[in-house]
Parts: sequence; C-alpha cells; structure tokens
Amino acid sequence: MRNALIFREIDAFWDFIRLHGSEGHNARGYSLYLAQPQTPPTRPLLLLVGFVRKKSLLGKLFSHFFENTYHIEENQSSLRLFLPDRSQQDLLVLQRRDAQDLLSLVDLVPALPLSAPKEHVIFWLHDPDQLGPLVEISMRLQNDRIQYAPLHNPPHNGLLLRIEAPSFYLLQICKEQYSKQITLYTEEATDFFTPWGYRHPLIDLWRLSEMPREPRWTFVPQGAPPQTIAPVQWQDIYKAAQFVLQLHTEQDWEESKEQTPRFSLPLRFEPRNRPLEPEIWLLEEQHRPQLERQLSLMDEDDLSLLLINIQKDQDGKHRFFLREKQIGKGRAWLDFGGQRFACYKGIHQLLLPVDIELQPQLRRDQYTPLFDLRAGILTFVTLPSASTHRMEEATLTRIREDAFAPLRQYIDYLITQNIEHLQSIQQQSVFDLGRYTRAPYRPELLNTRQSTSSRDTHTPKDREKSAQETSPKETNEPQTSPTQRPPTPRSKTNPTATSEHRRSALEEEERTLEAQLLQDPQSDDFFMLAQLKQEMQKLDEAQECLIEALWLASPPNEALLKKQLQEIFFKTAHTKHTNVPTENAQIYTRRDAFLSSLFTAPTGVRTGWLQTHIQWLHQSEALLRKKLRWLAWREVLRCNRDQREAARVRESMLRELNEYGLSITDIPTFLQRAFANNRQLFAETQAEQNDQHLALHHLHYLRNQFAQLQLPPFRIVGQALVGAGHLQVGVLPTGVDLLQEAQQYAKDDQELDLWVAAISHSVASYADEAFEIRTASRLQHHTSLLEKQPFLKEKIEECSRLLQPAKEKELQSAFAASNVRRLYTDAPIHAPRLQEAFAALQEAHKQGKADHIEHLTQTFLSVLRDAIRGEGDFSRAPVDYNEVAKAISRFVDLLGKLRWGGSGHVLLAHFLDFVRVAPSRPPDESDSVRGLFFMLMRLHIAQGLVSLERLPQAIEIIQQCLMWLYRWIDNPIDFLDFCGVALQAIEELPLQERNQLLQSITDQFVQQINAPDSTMRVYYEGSALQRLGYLLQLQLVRIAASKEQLALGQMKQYMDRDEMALRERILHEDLTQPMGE
Amino acid sequence: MLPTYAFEDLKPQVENLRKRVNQVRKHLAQYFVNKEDIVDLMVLCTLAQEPLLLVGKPGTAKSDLIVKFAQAIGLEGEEYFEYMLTKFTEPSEIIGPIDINQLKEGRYLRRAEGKLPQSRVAFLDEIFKSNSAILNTLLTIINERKYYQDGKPISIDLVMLFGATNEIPEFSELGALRDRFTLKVESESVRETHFDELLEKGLRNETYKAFQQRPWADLCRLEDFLKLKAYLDHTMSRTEDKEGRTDRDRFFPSDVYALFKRILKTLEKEDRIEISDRKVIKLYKLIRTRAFLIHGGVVTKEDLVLLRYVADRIQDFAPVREKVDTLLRLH
Repeated sequence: MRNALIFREIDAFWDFIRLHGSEGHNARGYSLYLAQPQTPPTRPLLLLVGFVRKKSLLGKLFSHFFENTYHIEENQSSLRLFLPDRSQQDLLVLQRRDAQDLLSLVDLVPALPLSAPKEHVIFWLHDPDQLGPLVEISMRLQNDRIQYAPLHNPPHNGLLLRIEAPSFYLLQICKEQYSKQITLYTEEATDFFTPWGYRHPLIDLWRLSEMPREPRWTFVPQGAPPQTIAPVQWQDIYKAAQFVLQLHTEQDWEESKEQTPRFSLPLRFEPRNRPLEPEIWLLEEQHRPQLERQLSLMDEDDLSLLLINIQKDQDGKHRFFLREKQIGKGRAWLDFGGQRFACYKGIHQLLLPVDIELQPQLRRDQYTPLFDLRAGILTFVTLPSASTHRMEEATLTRIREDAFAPLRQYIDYLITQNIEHLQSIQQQSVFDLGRYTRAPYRPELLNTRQSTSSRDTHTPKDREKSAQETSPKETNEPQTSPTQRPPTPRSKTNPTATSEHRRSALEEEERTLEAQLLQDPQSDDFFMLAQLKQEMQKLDEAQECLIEALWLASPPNEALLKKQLQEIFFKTAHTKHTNVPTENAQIYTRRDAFLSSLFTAPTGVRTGWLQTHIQWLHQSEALLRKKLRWLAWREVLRCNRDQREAARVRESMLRELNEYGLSITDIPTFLQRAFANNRQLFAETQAEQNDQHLALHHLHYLRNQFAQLQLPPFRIVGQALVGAGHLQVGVLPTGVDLLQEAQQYAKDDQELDLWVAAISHSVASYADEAFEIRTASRLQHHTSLLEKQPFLKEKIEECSRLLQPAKEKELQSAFAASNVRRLYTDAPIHAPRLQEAFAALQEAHKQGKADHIEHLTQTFLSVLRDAIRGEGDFSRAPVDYNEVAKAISRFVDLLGKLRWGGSGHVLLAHFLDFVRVAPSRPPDESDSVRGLFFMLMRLHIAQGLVSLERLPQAIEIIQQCLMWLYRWIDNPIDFLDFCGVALQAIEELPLQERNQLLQSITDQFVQQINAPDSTMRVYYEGSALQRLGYLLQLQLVRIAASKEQLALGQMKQYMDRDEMALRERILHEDLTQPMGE
Repeated sequence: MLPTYAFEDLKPQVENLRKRVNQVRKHLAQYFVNKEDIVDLMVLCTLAQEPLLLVGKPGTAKSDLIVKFAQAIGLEGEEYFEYMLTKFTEPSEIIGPIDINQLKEGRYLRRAEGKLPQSRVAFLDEIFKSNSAILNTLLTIINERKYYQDGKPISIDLVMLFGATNEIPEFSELGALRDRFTLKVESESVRETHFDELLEKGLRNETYKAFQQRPWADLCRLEDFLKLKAYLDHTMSRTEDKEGRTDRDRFFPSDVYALFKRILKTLEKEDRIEISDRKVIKLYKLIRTRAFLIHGGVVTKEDLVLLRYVADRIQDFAPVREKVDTLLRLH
C-alpha cells in the first residue's frame, strides 16, 4: 500500500509541480496514473505515487494538495483507492508514466504556430541508413551546417544528426515521410530536448534548474518516458560524406615566375557636382579685413565656438586656418570665405577643397600611405587658386590637430571712445571694472575663462553686494600677473561682514566651481579653485587643484603654475599633516619638500639637484598620482634629457594603464567627494530641490500603484520600499510611518516580516551614515532626521535580533542580486570574428595607434552589424544576441574612453550611425524567446547610448523595447528579466527623464500581479519568482529616488576623459623636450 | 450578363477550345522577349477569371503585353477598358460620371458607358497610386463583380482585371487590394541578357505598328475562355464521381497535393510570405486550371510552378521564385 496524491485537473497537477519547483527527484521513481473510477464512472483522475512529503513543504501553499492524499494499492491494470471513511474504490488505469523526476511526468503541449527553427534541430535517426537521403536533401536546400554523432549504447542505437537552422521543408518531409525512422528534437532549455512542434509547459522551471543539473542530455518524446544520454561529440558531416567530382578535362595553370608587373595609375583632381559642407577654412592675409568685419558682428560668447591656427611663412606672411569647435549638432554653419576644406571620404586627417575629389576612387585605407597621413596631424591639399584643379600645382600642408586655439584669445576689442571720460566713469563706478583698465591689451593668462566664470557665477545682485564691500582704491589697482590676480569680489574682504556669512559664500563658490569642473575640467578653473581653497585653508586640496591646472595648462602658463605649486608644496611641507598617522605624516612632509624643490625653476645644470630628485623619484614614484608622477619626471628629464629613463617611465605608466586603467585615487580627493555627494539627494541648490521634488512625485506615484496590488506580500513589501525611498530622500515622517505600517502588516508572516525588516535595516544603516554632515545648512536639513534617530537606532537593533545570520545573508544577497539576466555582458566575447575585431581595436588603443583606430572601429561595427543581422560570416548560424550584447557593452566601454581622443567625435558618429541603421525589431516576432533576446540586446545599446550622453536616442530605444514587451511577453520570468535590464538603463538617466518610463513599467507590473488569470498568479505566489518580483519593486523605487547610477556614470565619464588624456600624453609627449621648444 | 453554358453542350467542344486558347499562349509570346511565363499567366488568369498584377520598372513591356493580349482575344471598343490611375483620379473616371438628369430627379446614378463596369477586360495602370475612394470601389468590383448605383449593387460582366505597377507599397491600407491579386509577376528588363533579340523583335513590332498590322489579333475569342471556364466549373462542382472520388481525388494526386501543402508552408514559415485562406483556395483553383489548360487534366508537379508568383513584396519575388524551383527540383 502506498500514498498517492490525487489531482482532479491537469492544471492542479501543473500548479503542484510549479510550486514545488524543479527539485522533485526520487531515485526510486515516481508513477503518474491516469485512472478512471469504476463505480460510479466519473471523470479520470491523476494520481501521483512516490512523492515524499518534506517538512519544508508543510506551508499553507501545499496544504490543499496534501489534503488529497490517499492510500492506494497498485495492481496490473487497476488501482484500489482507500477512502477516509474506510470504503474502497476501484480505478481503471488508463495510462501510466514512470520517471525519476517530477518534471518528466508532465505532458508536452503542441507549440503553435509552428515556426521555422532559427537554431539547431537534432534528428534522432533510429535507422542510420536514413543519413544519406537526409543529408542530400539538406545540402540541396543549401544547408551543409550538419554534424553527426553515432549512438552505440543499446537501447540508444542509431545516429544523432544536428542541423543548424534546417529548412522547414526538410522538417516537414521528416515528419510526413519518416516519422517512424526519425524523431526531431529542438533544444528547449540547456540540455533539454523536446520534439519539434511541442513544448514543455513548465519549461521555465527547467530553465531555473539548469545550473545544478549533471551534464546529461534529456530527450522527452511525446507520450513516452524521457531518455537521457551523455553529451555526444559532434563531428562534421564532411568527415562522413564522400563527394565525387567528375570532370572531362583538367587544365593546370602555373603561377608566373617572372617579376610581377606593377601598374602605375596617376590620380587626378576632378570637380565635384555638389561641393561638400566646409569644415575648415584657409584664409590668406588679404582676407583679414573681411574676417575682422565678420567677427565684429559676432558676440564674444559665440567666439568661444571658433578655433584658429595661425601660420607664418619665411617672409612673415600670415595665413589662418579657422574651424568651428563643434562639427555636428550645435554647429553654427558659418562661412568665412577663403579656401574651404572638408574631410575626404570621412578620413578626418585628410582635407581637400570642398569642390574637388580624387579620381579614380580608391579604398579608404589606400589614402593613408599615399598622403602619408599621420595620427594627430591634419593634412591639407591646397591649390594656388580656386580655378586650378591640376594635381601638379597642389601642395600638402600639415598642421597638428591640437594646434587650434580658441579664437577668442586672439581678439583685442578696441574702445575708440574718449578714454578719459571712461576712466572717470570707472572711478565712480560701484562695479568692478579693474580688469578693463589695460584695454585694449589682452590679459596675459587664463583670463578669458576667468572673467567668464566670475561673470557667470555672480548675478548682478551679487556684484552689487560685492561692490559695496569693495573700496574704490582696490578696484583701481592695475592687473599685473595671474599671481596678482585682479581682485575678485571674493578677495575683497569687508571687515563688517560676519565670518560665517563669508565662509558660506566661499563654500557656495567652491561648490559651484567644483560642479563646473566635474562637467568640463579646465586649467583656469582649477587655478581659480586652488586660490579659493588656499583662502579657505584647504592646502591639500589647493595642491591637487594646482597639479590639475598644471596638467591642463598650455606651455606659456606652465612657469607661473609651477611657481605656485612650488610655493604650496613648500607651505605644506612646513605644515603638520594632522589628518594622517604619524609615520605617514613624515612621508608626506618629505614628499612635499621634495616636490617643492622639484618644481623650482632650474637655472643652469645642477648635478646634485638632479641626482637627489631622480633617486627620490625612483623610490617614491609609486606613491604619486599618475599625473603628478608624469609632471615630476618631466621636470627632471627636461634637465638631463635621459631618453632611456623617459622610455622606462613611459612604458611603466602605459603598462599600469593598460592593466589596471585609471584608479579612482588618481583623481583629486575633493572631486571624489563631489561625485559621492552627487549620489545623494540633498535639497540645497535649486537643481537639487527640483530633483527632490521629482523623486517625491515618483514615490507618490509608486505608493498609489503598489497599494493597488492584489497580492498582499507585494503590497506590503512595496509599501516598505516606498517608505525606505522617502527616508532616503529625507522625508522622514512619511518614510517612518510607511515602514512602521508595513511592519505591522507583515508581522503574521515570518518570511514577509524578515523582508520588511531587511528593508528597514538597510535604510537605517543608510540613514546612520547620512549623519556625516558637511555643512551647517545640511545639518539643519537633517534636524527632523535627528529627531527620528531613536526610532532608527531601535530599528537596527530590532532587525539584528530578527535576522538569523544565515537568513540575513540570504536576504542581503537577494537584495544585492540582480534579476535572471539572460545576457551576461560581463563575460568575455566568444564569437571568433567579433572577438578578433574587438581585440584589434583594443590593441590599437593600448598601443596608441590613433591612425588605425577609426578604421578598426568601422571594421568592428561592420562585423557587429553582420552579427545582428545574421549576414556575412554570421549567416551560417542563428544570431547569438548574447554575444552581440557582450560586444556592444565592451565596445561602448572602450568608446567611452576613445571619444575623448583626437578622432573621438568621428568614432562616436560611426557608433551613432550603427545604432541608427541597426534593426529595431526582432527578425521573427512570432518567436518570442528570440525576440526577447533581441530586445535585451537593444536595451544594452540604449544603456550604451546613455553612458555616451545620447539620451534622446536611448530613451527612444527603451520606449520601443517597452512597447514590444507589452505586446509580446506573457511570461513572468521574461517580464521580470526584461524589466530588470530596462530599469538598469533607466537608472542612469537624469530624474526628469525617468517619469514616463517608470510609470509604464509600474503599470505593467501591477497588471501582471492583478491578472485575473490564475496561472499567472501562481507564478507570483509562493514560488521563487516572488523574490524576483520584490527585486523589481526595489528597482522601481531606486529609479524613483536614486541618483546613484547617474553619479557613477558621471564619474566614469570624468575618469574616462582623464585616462584618455593621460594615455595620449604618455604616448605622444616628449618628456625630455625642454620647456618652450 | 454573362452567358450560361450546359455541360453536355460544352463537352464536345472542349478540346478545340483548349487548342485555341493555348494558341494564344504560344503565339502571343513570340512577339516578346522572354515573356513566356507572363503570357502563360495572363491566359491562365483570364481563364480562371482571377486578377493578375504585373510589376516592373517602366519600359518593361507591361502595358504592351496587356494591350496585345486584348487584341489577341478579339476585344474591341467598350469591351476593353484601360486607364492610368493617379492619386487625383476620381471614381467617375473609372466607373462613370454622375448622371445629372437623374440626379435632378433624386437618383444617384452613374453613366457607365465606356467605363470599367461595361468592359469585359480592364487594365488599370499604376493601380496602387489611386486614392482610397477608387480602391474601395475596386475591391468590390474584383471580389464580387459588383458596383453600386444609387445604393443598389449592380452586377458587372468584367471577366478579367489586369493591374500594373512600378512598385508595391507596403502600407497596410493597401493590404486588401494586394491580397486580391493572387498572383503577381515581375516583368523584368531583358536588355542585359537578350539584347539582340530585344532589338530585333522591338523593331519588328515598330514596323507592325507603322503599317497598322496586328498579326497577333483575333487568335481566339473571349467566349472561348468563358466556355472553358464554364466547363471547368461544371467539373469541379461535381462533388463525387461514380466511384465516390472528389475532384481532388481525381485531379490532384496525393503526392503532388502533399508537395503543394509543403511548399506553401515552407514559404510561409521560412520566407514570411503571407498566404491568406482566400489565397489558398484561389491557388488551388489556379493550379487545377493550369493543369486543365496545359495538359488536359490531372495536376502534375510542373503545375505547382504557379507558386513562384505568390509573393506580395517585390523584394520577395526572386527569392520565392528560386525557393519554389529548388523545392520542385528535389522531387
């Protein structure tokens, strides 16, 4: 007599297996009977025998299944059922199935509509003689992607044939004509094969249980017990096939032994039908008046968008190359006259007059040797006059790509009015007109931005206030040098102003400058910040600012900055380092002393100075930040011109960069801190207040939506998460109330209670950390937080009590975990062609082969394009979207760096072109699984675009993907997985861009949970998916109120730019070249 | 009103009728270069009374084929209607203007003399360029052979509609009209492959035109087509013969029938060719008609060659043609 679980509906049986999960395995085997009661005859029942009730399954989810447990007696063709009232009932066995795991007991269901397989199909040939005809048909249908494996072990005799994307026609023939000899299988999950045209209804469980399974292949035929075999070794069909070629005659040709003849083809210029849009203009001396007239019509701000390179010939005659700073979007489309040039065939180093082209047309790479194109050098083909198109008269002009300077630097505005009159106005003015006193002469250094910045950072109101604090005498002092900078409102101390007010103003200015630097690091901004920080007695930070300023400075400004640096190192060497341990303090003092001495301008050859500093640098270079290390070595090597040492420094730094990249510690500490602050939502500035409002708006929306969820666990966890979100945004009363309420609801359910406790715990820890308060205003902002602190402290203790160590770990890791994640973009690329193309590009980047990078980028993108479309080398197998997604992630990561290089804008344009033409819909929409992978891949493209700051395109792609999601995905695992990836991309967007996308996903999630279809609900009730649902809610709350990923993205962008600049300096700067040469 | 013919009356004439119609097929093709397939389809579709769409770039003899075909079957005057459609073409240009006198009396009637409703064979050039008013009228005409006069449906005697177009737009609103053309054939340029022949036949045709000669004219009459169609309808409408076999049992051998199904499914699944239920039925009838016309009865594998022309989009034409040829060669 055995126990049997009785199921009256097939759906109930499926629900049981779905809830039990994929772990049901019994070495002695399960039996599933389909049996019909005899008296009275009623509908057949399903009886499961061999199931052992475990303690872990005693929950209420299983209780109603176990209520239907009965004793039975098994006979040949009948079963005897012992009912609770001690009566018996005989059942006639209609069907019996035995298996060792529960999933194998589930019947397959037809997969309709049938679609042409895009992946391999396994042909199980019970009669190996069928191999020949089958292979012949497949080959005649132009598919030779066939592999075979003989099966020797009885009873698995026969032959397995694996055909990649076989013709639908071939499958039909097999099904119609050879159904007894050949069974067709498709791989529905890893190592799990179902007959073609059928699917396993619980395949999701198979997917979830893929990993721990032993490496055996399971074949589940329709209506028969599953068969497992060890994985076979596939062999190419060409090894088994013999092909005969019969030709009437054969004629051999021999390679010519003579010298291979070369053919000389002269290139010529030909006029274009339509001239190209000019990118660079060459103006001669005679064009100067016209240019000045044109520039006089432009505002000063607009001049910042123009760049110029001035050249002089032997006779002292000038000519000017002019270009716009922006060449794509935002370009002003000016025309300066003179000779107009444009890149030829997209090769940005080669510029031809816009109205001519070269004939015959050559492959792009042929132009590099022809014109001797070099990285970082622009080559112009100039003609003596516009009417001449003779190649013999053309000359090549080469200029450095970075030799263009802002045009503003070369503009002197003239005041032709009565100067004395102006002086009187100036003296009487309450405004700061000091910097204009020497007009029309341009200030020597850094003042373009300096003046802009001070204009920008001070509203007229501020200026007025500052002017009141400034004595007229001070404003009249002439400006002499950058070290004696024109007195800014900041430096004009008003003795009557309170020190707090002044400090607050300085902090405000510091914050503004830091924010500006995060976006666009410039030498003069760093210089200004250094002065500010010195004034605020932040000497270490001022030091860092000066190093950055020197790193970015142009040669004429170096001497001044080095002097400043020397002074500040001298100062810090004599200041006690209080914020570091004693033993390190000595090291820092010594370092500062050496660096102070190092940046002292050398006069004459000083052997002792050299030896001491070289020795010290050898010992301590690892302690220095990379930029400082480079600058320090440059000081030494400029004196001794030791090429070998220069090569060593270059190689060691390049190796470090290639192996580890730029470290976070290589950027100034105050910038690290600024990035960290950006991650949190503090309502201090107007922009931050806007962000906070947006976050609250999002949270309010989520709160309402989560409240509509019909499954209580999701509702409660949602409420706790929204409460946590409020706490993080700083709205404490609501946050605490929501959390307390959620905990109240959850107390009856042990697991739910743990979840809510874990949420409270994580928030409480966060809130605790948030007490590290930087400014007084922030302190005020957190007053209410402090009031609630006892509750939070209590909460932490309570959670610690509640959480068992093991359970806590599990919950924490579940919280940290991502979703199912079908596309593992962190893994290396496996597809040989993609791997090869990417490796070549990466290597060129590492080696600094700038002239190869564009070509290799295009090659890589074209391979990627083929891979997505399944063309070219990729046409022989179904598209592997995982590989494509990996390749895109890798490439975007690299492009993040490359785009800051010389040809960065071109590379970016190539990528955007690629995105524009990449297919936006899955090739086969009826195949929802492949469609899902396709769309996940598209989301990775969107993520890439976000990281490259192309937000509109990224948002459009995400929207397209979501539209597709709602139309095609009806499976909760797919839904959760897809939303998880989409939310990752959205999380990097600014808060104001997230609203619509957040609402869209939330609405869909609520619909899924509240779906009237009971089958869907089962997925979310009590199964492993429940946890994934919580994680999705967590992600939604993060999207609502977190700037974490956004700030990380900004930091990565800053570091990428820094790394690229460092790499280019290492590769191209001559360390031994004396200053000014 | 089309005449009705009794089966018994037709039976003795069938072979002669077939011969005459086949004569058009063979003879007309001589005046063109490499257009045999298209001429076959024109004849076949006229026999089956299924509209045919000719697709091709300008100057690929689309119009010439249809005009010569109309002359070959002896159509004259109002029996043949030809019009080039544009987006500004109004329904009155196709189905006739409103009768003003009738309108004064409150009746909305059209004067259809010399227009499409009165014709037996019609040719609409650039058919997809017409506006929605024309498209709706055409749908009813093609499908139900009806148009509306004063709100009442009036039957028309149109036997055959030829459409020609340079391109097949993919707009969904044109989907219904696209689907009405069961077969679509591309008239390709032959300049690359048959230059000499093209020049020779082209000049000869010019000469015929100059001397107002039409050696292809009056090879048979439209009535011959109608009679053959009537005979075929009688045959197909007989549900069972004496041995209880259906029309399919008798005229569509099971292996060819299985092949027909298999190819259709393959095209649908692999090449994304949309084949509606209506199209399947029409294809069956067309294949059956071809078998009857070409070799007098039972469908053979060669008759399935019609499946080459089921694609709806121009870019699918060549792949589908190749696919069908490959699959037919397998057997």
